[in-house]
Amino acid sequence: MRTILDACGDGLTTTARAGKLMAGLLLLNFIVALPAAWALGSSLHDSLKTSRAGEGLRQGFDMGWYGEYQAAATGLEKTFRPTVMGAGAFLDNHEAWASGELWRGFAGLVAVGVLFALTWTFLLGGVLDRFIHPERPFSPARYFASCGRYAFRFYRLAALSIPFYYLVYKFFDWAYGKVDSLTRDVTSESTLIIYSLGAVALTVFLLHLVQISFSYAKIAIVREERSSVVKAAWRGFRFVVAHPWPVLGLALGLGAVSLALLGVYSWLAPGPAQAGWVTVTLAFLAGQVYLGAKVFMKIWLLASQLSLYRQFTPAGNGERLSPEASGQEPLTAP
Amino acid sequence: MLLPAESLTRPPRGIPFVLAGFLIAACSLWFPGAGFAASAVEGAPALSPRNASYRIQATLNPAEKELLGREVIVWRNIQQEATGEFWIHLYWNAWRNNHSTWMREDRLRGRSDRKDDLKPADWSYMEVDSIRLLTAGEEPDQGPGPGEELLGASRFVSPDDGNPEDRTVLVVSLPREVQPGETIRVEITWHARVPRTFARTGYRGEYYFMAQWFPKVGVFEAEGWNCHQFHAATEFFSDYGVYDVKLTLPAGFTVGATGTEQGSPTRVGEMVTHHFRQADVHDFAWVASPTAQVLEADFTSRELPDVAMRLILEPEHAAQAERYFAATRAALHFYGTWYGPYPYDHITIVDPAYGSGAGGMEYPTLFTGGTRLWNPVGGDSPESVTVHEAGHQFWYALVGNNEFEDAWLDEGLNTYSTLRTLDAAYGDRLLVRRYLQPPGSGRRQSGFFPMVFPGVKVDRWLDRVNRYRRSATSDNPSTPTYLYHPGSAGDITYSKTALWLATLERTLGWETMQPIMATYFQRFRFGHPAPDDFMAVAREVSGRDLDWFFDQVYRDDVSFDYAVDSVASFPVTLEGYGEGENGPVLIPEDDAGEEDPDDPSTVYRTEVVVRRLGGGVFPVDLLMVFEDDSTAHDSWDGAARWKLFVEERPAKLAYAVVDPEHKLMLDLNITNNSLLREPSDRLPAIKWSSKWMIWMQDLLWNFAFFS
Repeated sequence: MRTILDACGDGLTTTARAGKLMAGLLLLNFIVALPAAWALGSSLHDSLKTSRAGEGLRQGFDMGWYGEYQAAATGLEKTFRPTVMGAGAFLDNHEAWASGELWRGFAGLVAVGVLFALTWTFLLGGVLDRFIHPERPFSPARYFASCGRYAFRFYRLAALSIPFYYLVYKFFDWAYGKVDSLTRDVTSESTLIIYSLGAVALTVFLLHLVQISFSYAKIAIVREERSSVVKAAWRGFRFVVAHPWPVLGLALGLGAVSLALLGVYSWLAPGPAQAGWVTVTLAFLAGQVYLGAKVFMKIWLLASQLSLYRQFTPAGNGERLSPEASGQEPLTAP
Repeated sequence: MLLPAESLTRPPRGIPFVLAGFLIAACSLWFPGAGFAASAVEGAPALSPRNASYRIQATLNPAEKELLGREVIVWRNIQQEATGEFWIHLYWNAWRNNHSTWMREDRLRGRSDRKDDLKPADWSYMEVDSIRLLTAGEEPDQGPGPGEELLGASRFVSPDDGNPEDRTVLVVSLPREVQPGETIRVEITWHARVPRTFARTGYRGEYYFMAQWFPKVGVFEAEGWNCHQFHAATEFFSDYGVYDVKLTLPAGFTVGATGTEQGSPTRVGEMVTHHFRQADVHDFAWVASPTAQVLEADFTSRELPDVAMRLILEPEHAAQAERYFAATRAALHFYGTWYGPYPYDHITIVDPAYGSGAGGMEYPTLFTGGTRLWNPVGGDSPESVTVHEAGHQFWYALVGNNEFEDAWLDEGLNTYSTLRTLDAAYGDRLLVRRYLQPPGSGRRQSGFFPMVFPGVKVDRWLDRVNRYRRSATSDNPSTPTYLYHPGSAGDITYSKTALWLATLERTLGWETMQPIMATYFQRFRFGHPAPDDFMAVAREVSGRDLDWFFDQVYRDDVSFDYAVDSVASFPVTLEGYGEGENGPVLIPEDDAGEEDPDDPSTVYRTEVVVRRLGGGVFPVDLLMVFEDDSTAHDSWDGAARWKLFVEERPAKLAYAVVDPEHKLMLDLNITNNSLLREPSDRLPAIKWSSKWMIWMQDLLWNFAFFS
């Protein structure tokens, strides 16, 4: 427990110092989403601008108009639904992520999502390098140089992870099918919920297991200047297996904080009632604050994982540390 | 009464079980006395013709999923013609194999109950072992008597589609014709395999919902026998009678059925026999659940007769018991007040077990609701299904139209009544999204975990417009329902009908609509009305020729869409030549005048063009709202393809709305019913796209998870 708390504390300190990084990530996220939102907004405006239905959407939502809009919707428009407001947006996405529906959505959005993921992968090298070497003065040139230095290895690592994620989703399909057959004669919904949640929980666990393993692999690549992504992936997996409780404890602990944040946002999230520019802006900002909190948690987890990795891989543990690594860790032979 | 699950004792399997069942049947003296006059059975004046009555003894073998039955149908020819045939429905043969008409149609509608999950043991059948025409004075179950065995004189027919592999209709040739007014008694013994639920019929685990479970006589009409095959998108049609039913099954089940239980169940060994009876109904269904509990409550009203409500409830839905009762009360109250009282003193509400597929179905004096473990208040569940199925006691059970041919007469009238009741009793419906789809459910089942969106109201009528829109021209409503495309039949039958009834109400007023519905209800209670009967009542009560309306909404498949096509406001000034004393005088350019918004004397000419975009014609009103908040109203017969409306007043138009009171509920596009002269600001679009953007931003981070 002490190890986990130490890692969390280190990670929190590191994340708190990474204000510019956070702002940059939020800005990137905002910029990538903006064109699609603009396109959707134009479509909505075209549908509403000359009709009294616009007044209904100004005051709240108009399901009658929505039915007509959806009947003629194509592409991006199909993804618009009233449940994107408030916590519904996040629950929608969580459900799609856990079930794999995320990848079966509108192809245009999937493409943008993949592009964003690739961009994040590119930036991650710089983030980790920055976290590993906080003593170095920050400059954009140095940051992007670090990004470029690890990008290709991270992309190869991402490619390596694809079959594992694919298998997890295949497992989910199989497990859900199995639940269906096992509960074929069950007449209690609560029983079915328990079975279904079991399948979902296992899937979510496996998704995180893969993600965490590859996250530690990235840490190993940056910290130890590993060039082989296969060996790095193996290293990440071995680390998780060797230290299951701290690794899981850290993930679960921060996961619980994330859930608590979602709970708070669900409670506070604005509904559909904003009718003026000020309230609309405030509602939007509330969403951005929550997104910021989510990104903070993501970075916090990463920084904490790095701290944990450091705790368990001190010098002389067979690790080949970067020559640029801090002096407290002597270089040892592989 | 709560029967715990552990009290269920499995019956012996196979032949000994069958013998036990029949032994109980024999011991129970299930046909005492030769007479089967309905009034004698019930001891009350007949409310219906009672020309098709049943005495049934059936035994359920849960281990083998087998049902053994024997029945005597007492049938009276109430037509003016004789008949030499006797047509019988064998509904469970619809799921005998995948070549039946029901299964073919189910594939066509693309929503087989379990298209990927059918196992060999799921199929069912209904096999007739014997058909005997009993002679006068002959007692059934007394062994072979002088009555003639007619099984050899029977054949399967497929009157609707000629499918030679469909075995849902059996025609028995009688040794002599049954004369008008004559009564015959036909004894049928059969055995059947219980299906794993199809069409709300069958079992799941140890839960049984048994509908259409006995050989059932068709309806003999002036034109001949009306006995359709079982179709995927339609329901049933039968004559009224007295049902006296004894059901034998292992101990440990809670049993509910049409009618009321006669005395306490009798137990012989591990088997228990329940005796139910109901007069003046046209069907009989029952449920057996090893886990259900029974709750009772009353419906009382100063204006209407009391009704005892019996709820057969699965324990995990205990918290929703009062919601079932309240919704049933709402239906009994509003339907009873609007149309006429519910004539029976009892009603049974069945809360179906999860996954049983039995939810949302109506049978005389019994219906199935349906709910989930968690159902937030405001989302219309289980209220909507409960009101609807309770409402079918009026439209279906009491007014017994032919559901094969004119399903809209019950489903449509009932949907209309359901929506009115829900609006009156529950107010706004809120949007509920359910998360985490159950496994194997496809889109047929919504997720486990509900979330209410309190600010989003779902207009129940517009929700029906959305359903109607997708099938608006798929079928002409006057087509016999069993010939509708199975995939869109529901949209026409339920939604379109409800919408045109609402349109009629908004046109005639509730003060006329209510007497139309009430007159139709009271005139055809315990009868078999046809569409023309409803329309004739509407004409008669309203005193108006409504053929123009019915021709479009019932005898045609035209769609309706009125739109404000263009609006303009400009100063009324004369340019060009005016009329002078000596002929045309050119008006000086200065006098032609520029628009002066500050000049209160400026008069604006407003022109509004309204178009009829759909094929349907309906008289519509036009509302013009001006910038000084004044309004102008106009009306149009709606016949031409477009019409220009002109208004002159000292203010510009703000917007125009065609059909501002939304009388034409069939209008497929409401958004274009209004037109602003100046486009509105972007706030509504930005508001909702900004909410969507947050969703999108989060979606991106979900993709980033994998990097």
